Amino acid sequence: MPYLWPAVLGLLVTGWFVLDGFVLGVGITSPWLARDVRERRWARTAVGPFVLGSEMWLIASAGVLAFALPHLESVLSGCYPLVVALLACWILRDAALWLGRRSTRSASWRRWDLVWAAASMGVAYCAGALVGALAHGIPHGAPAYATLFGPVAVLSGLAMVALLALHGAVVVRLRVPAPACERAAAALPRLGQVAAVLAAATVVAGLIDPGVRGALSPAALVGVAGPVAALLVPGRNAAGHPGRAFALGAVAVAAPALAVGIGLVATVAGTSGSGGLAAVVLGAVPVMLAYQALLWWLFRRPVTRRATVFF
Amino acid sequence: MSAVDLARIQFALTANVHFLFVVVTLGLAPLIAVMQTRYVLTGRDVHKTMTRFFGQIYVVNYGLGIVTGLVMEFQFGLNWTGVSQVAGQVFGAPLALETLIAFFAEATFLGMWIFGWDRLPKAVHLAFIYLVTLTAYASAYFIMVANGFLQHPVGAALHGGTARITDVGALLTNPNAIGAVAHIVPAALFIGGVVVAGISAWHLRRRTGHDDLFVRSLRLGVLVGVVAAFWTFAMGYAQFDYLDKNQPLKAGLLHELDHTVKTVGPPPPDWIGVPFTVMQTIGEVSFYIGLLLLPFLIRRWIVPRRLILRAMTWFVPVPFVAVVCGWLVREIGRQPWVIYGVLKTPDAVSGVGATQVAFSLAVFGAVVVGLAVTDWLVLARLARRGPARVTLGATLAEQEERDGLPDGRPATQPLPAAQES
Repeated sequence: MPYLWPAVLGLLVTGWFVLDGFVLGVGITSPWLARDVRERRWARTAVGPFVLGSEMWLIASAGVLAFALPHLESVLSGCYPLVVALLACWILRDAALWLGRRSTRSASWRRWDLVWAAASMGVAYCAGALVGALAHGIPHGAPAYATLFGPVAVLSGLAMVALLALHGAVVVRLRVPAPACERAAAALPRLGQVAAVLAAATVVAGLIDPGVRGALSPAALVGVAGPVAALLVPGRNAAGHPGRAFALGAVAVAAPALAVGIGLVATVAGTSGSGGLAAVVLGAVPVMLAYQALLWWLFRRPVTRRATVFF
Repeated sequence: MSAVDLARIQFALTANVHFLFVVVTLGLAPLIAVMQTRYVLTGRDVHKTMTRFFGQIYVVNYGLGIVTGLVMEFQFGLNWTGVSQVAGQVFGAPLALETLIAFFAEATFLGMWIFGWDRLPKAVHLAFIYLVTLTAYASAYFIMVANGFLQHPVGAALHGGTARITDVGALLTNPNAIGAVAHIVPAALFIGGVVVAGISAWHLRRRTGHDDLFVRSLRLGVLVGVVAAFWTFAMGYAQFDYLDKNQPLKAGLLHELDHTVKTVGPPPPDWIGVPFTVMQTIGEVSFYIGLLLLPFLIRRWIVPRRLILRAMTWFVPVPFVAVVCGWLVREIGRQPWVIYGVLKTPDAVSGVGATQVAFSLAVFGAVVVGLAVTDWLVLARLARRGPARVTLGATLAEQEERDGLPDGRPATQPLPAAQES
């Protein structure tokens, strides 16, 4: 029972990395995989239905944090600059999606597409850096700049950009019409290598950092699954199994947060949620999963000329 | 400026901007559900076009509601951890319910509604907008339960400095929360009606060529607006029933109390009487003027009345002023308490320094205000562009044809499927 709410939080945060992760990844890779405004509208249409439903996972995480783990809210104030930066980039990413095709002038479209790519990279970097910062333990009190901008956090941020780019590229391969999907398939080997190297470097940096070694239990080594999965993604796609490539990409992007969460679980456990409402909140989780599954099923097909647009 | 002042300014700014978009979301959603219901029942194009046109306004507005809401969700953990320390579980409970139950569903079903046009059976597509509307109002309820707890802490008891929920029913039926919801719901519908009527009036006056559509939507907007205006101020006044007892210092600044007040601490600033009067005046005057508009809804009597149409369009920003005034009364009126009678505002702020808060205020202030202004300009442009070329509900093929495809490729060129590569 003491691990219940940390587990729920872990599920929500991991879900966000996997689901908003591919939306972010498509944004990150859009300048290279979708070369003009027409192709980028295809990319926007490919991720469109999932944008709202995916970003909810992180918003719900904040809700669970407030309700069941209020003493952990120091995670937010203790990583203040990174959280503010993440929120600002997230806001700009959403604005780029919502407002990016409202004008009739293509110059405006190009500008918003740039914002989409840059803001997506910003969210990815800040999310990764936060995971890296939390690897030093739950902060208490004022932000420690040495942790937030130290080598583990920075490497973790860069690795997350690469991991989400890889994850997003698989989705471009699966859902966006040619030539974008062909470019994505061609880019996967390089993206897989870069992501794997950066993720491995982050793991190594964490292993040699005394702060991280002191804060995380050895169970955090499951994070090694991240770079390994990233390396395997291009191979699965080339062998004609893009669905499995997507699953491996999901493992790769989920691994960092899961590793740090598992490594810290001893320090965050032992809280109690308030009984009755806790049951209601928990009961909502399977319902949420059900209508999310409905969303994915409704929009499972790749983009065609008959797809409905908005973003 | 101290961290407290900066944190308060940030909260006031972001919460007000957030609500300016949320109130339109709450007000428009039911109207769009009505429009779409008429389409599904009659099959007539005028209703479908009306749904898509106002639906697009709703969706573009919704985006900024989300964007400002992100700041709201995380702001508590960033700047106000004092609240979490004292009453985290109690205050966090309705917030968690809001995100996990109401908002999660709203966001998912809205995504299905936006992208499911003509791809889903009509009844299913209609059901989704009803679900979106329902969950939006559920969200509003849960948020007001959270705010209501701060204003009038019930259903919880302090044990050694932290509050625990002792009575979930009391928390969820807090008269402060229920009374506020009963006031906000009609206020939102009032704004929804005013927005629809104002946009319709512009098109009728400019003779943009969609008279049939806009006469119908104007009628809907005015009818809903007038009835809602009445309930807004009626439910507003009804709140004094409990405010006189539970927040007498606030109530005393707004109207005459029939009992003497023993002070619960320092009183709130006495200028809240001014926004209260502004809000009250706007509410009541809107209703009375709205009554005078009713005869013009008969047939097409409104169409040649260009002065009235112009006034209706110019009136659109006015209820938004009332809404901001309302929040000022509600939130400033409970100062210096964050949790009334329990936790004072300066004690609720996180331990972060003023520089951090100044940084966050600068960033969020600039981004939120900048995007809000951009969104309003886009909304105005979309409203003027009219129902002829609405993106909401269009297919990729239709939209690319309209775009003219700047790279010169012919619009009829089919897209190679993703799986073939």
